[in-house]
Amino acid sequence: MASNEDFWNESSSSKFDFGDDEEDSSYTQGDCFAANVQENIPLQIDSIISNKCLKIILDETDSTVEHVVAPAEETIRRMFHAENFMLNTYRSFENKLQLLDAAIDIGDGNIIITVILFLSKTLNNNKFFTQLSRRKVAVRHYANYLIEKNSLQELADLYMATGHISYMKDIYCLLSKDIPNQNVQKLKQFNRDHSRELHTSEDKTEIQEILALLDFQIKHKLNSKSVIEQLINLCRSEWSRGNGDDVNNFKKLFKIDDFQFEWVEMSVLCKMQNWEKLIATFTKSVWVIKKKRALKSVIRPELFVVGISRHNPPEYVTEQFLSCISDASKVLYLAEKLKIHKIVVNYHVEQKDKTSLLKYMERVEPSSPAWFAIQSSLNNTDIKWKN
Amino acid sequence: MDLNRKLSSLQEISKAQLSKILSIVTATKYVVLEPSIIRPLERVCGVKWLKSNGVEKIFKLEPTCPSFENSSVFYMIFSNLAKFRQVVDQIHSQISQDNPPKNKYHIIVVPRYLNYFQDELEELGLYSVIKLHSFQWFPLHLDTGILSLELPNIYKSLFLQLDYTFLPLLSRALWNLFFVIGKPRFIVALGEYSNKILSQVDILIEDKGDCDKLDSDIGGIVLIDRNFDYPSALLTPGTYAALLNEVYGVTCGICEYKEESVDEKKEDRLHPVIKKQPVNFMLDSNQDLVYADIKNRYFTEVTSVLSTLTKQLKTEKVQSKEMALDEIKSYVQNKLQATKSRKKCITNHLLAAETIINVLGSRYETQQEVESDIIKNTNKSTNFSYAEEGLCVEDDACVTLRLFCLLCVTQKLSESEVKSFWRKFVHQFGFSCSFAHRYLINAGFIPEPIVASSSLNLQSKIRLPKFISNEFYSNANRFKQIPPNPEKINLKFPTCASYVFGGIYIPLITQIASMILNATPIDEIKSKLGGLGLMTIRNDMGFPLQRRSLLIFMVGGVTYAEIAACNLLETLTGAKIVILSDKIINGNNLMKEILS
Repeated sequence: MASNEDFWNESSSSKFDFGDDEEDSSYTQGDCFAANVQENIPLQIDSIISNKCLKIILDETDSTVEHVVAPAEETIRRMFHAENFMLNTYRSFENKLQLLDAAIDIGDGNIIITVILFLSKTLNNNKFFTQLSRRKVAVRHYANYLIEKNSLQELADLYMATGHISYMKDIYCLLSKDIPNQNVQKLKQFNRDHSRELHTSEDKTEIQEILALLDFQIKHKLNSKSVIEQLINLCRSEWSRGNGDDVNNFKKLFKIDDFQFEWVEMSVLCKMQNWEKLIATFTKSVWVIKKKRALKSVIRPELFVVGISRHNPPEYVTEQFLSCISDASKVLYLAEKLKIHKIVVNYHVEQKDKTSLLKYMERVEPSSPAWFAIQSSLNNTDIKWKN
Repeated sequence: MDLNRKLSSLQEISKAQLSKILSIVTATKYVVLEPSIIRPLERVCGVKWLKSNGVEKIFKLEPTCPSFENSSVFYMIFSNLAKFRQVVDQIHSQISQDNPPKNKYHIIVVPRYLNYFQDELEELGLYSVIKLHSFQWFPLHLDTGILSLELPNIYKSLFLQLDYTFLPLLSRALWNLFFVIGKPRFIVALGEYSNKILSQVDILIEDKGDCDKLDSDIGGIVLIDRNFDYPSALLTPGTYAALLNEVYGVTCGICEYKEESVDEKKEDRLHPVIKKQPVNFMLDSNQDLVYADIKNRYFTEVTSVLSTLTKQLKTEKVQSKEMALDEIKSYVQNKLQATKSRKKCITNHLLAAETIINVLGSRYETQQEVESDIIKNTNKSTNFSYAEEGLCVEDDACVTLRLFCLLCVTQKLSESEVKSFWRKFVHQFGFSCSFAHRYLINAGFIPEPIVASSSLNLQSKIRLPKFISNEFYSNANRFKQIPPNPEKINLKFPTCASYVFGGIYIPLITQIASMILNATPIDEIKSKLGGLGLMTIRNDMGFPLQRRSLLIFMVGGVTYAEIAACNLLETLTGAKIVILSDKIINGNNLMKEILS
């Protein structure tokens, strides 16, 4: 608002200045106000009110007075010892910050949260978040508290306002922890609102995958905990019906790692005891050597054999895959461990190692086919034993 | 006075504290316990004591509330907001809003209630209706020289959520303990939390009082944060007690497993689940002499010891059949009970040993090789491939994550390796594990992802991982934690503490204890420990130690392997080492907290 002087000088109405008429004292005398002039000069204050009453009125004047508050460290210590405390006397900004810093200093999370909650109620958001953002410890404690209370919207506000944008993905993870299908909309909404803030491409991909899995499950009315579990269920249902297109599509959708995919394929086929398909899928012929087949998989042959052995396959299946291993010592080791006698026997016969063969015979059940095989090899006069 | 007897008697003080709380109500009272608090409470006071202190009935906290009639009720729960709310809801549903009863409902929060619990009560108008009490028991003397607070979630709160809420209870526990054993003159604190605990103990002593004992039972104390030695928690241990904890899980010194009904879903799994034998016994060297013999032995020796003991029992049985009548009488009177309990012990341990072999046996050999390579800092890419393959092959989130964490701490993984592993991990075990990524960053296993330059936020900083260089190996070499020839370590009659991990690694606390007990010059200790991180040493003419006893306080959980290593050091030096922690853990516990 312009000063009184300006107003008077710039007014569109005619100027009226008490000062103008000062020389013309008769004017004031003869004016319509003249009759009341005597009453206009104020009386002395002590003639209208006694000193005592004046003092009462003056004492009533209400100006803010800065309270003397106990030092922040003292109050924090009282809180530490679970003694009574009053935070609402800490009204000045400086005092509040001293309180917060003292709380962080003493290292008691309970006190830090109490002070933060006090500040959140007595400071506006702007000031509150600015000060918080300068104290990482405070942000962490407040965030933990909000997570405990499941106040995820406030958590998002906190992260945004204090520059912890990389933490936004955490909220998404919390939201998606155990959600019934209806909350998918909530997740999608969150993604739309905050996708700009997800700054790493891995975060974006992960969130898109979460949504994709949920959509897939809703569409097909399925329910599994993870991508791989879903894949397993798909494989089972698809392959028992015969086709496998959906499985491949699913793999492409999530860009499932080859190792994981093939391990699932192998395990499901074993569980379904579909040995022919197992062999067909995972072996290929080596074009130079007839009858020899190689493993067609990213899985190491030794690991593959260990994997199928868990499902107790027929011996010929294990033998088939054992023969894909190039390292003879590894083959021997696994064959002995898995009790595939034929391979062990053949190995020792090929090595013309009679001692090892005899030793191995002790581990074989008497009168079993393997036992007879060993006997016939031992009795075979064509073999020239080394030992 | 024998220190062990003192430590076993600590619960008398806890009982006095609990008695004080319960005596607020003079009439009969009911107590409702949260299920997970029952076991530690049994060791603190037990049911009989409660009943002799005016507790008429004891209930388990369940969704439906029993009728309390006119008695006062004390609920007892751990400090957890969700549990607290559950109890408050239950109480709220029982009372009339207009005329709520006073002094009827109490909630005892272990170890302390938080201020915002009171806010919750205030909001519901129940502030004066429900009274809150904090109760923190003294450390439980689980076995000789093992003190544990048996409090849940401390590792998660301190190291994963980076939250200070539980620090004061740890400092209070230590301050309380000092009243009984005296405050030692030589104090070492290693790590952020250990140092904070020490400063809080100072405040407590200054404001509330110090112990009036002139002399301490303990020569020195070492406080150390869990994150100073992750490998001791992540490597597969080789001692019997540690393996029991690995396979069965031991809580409050009790190993229990009940036969579960056949779960159809489990049967359907691709990776067969190995059946565990049911067991139930206490890991107490004083009561179970068989356990006392085998607890710290390397596992390969345990099976031979057990078979020897079984043979002994059999010969005893055969002998007893040939006894004369008066011999039988004397046998029945004196020896039969002892033999029976020994037989029970041996049976339990045999079943447990069998389960350990079945569960761990298949991958033990390869796992040992890989861990050995990791500690020797060789074959990094093979080790990483093994970890990635393990995602499918083992199909166990804790086991694979554990190996991943071990690699992160020791050989360090590149950003692309971390990303690749993590993606496969969430694919395998579900997106519900996604949040664990944040915990892994907070714990210091993986670095914070670098902010994209296009971000408008100028405040974001690139946070470097805590261990920038190959700090692990330089520290391990400084403390001589890695024996040069692990194959030569004697596992049967060990003389080197590395036997707990098959000869490949000595836990850090054992080496620190060894330095102190062997009176290494204080300057050397200072310079070596200073390289580990934040360190405080207070020496009030307490070094070299006047008493050959040491208290080690591991903040965040300690493992049976570390305890075994310290037990060996005790035997070699003739000193006494008491180990205090918030919980006895194994590597899988840590992983479960990360994944929770």
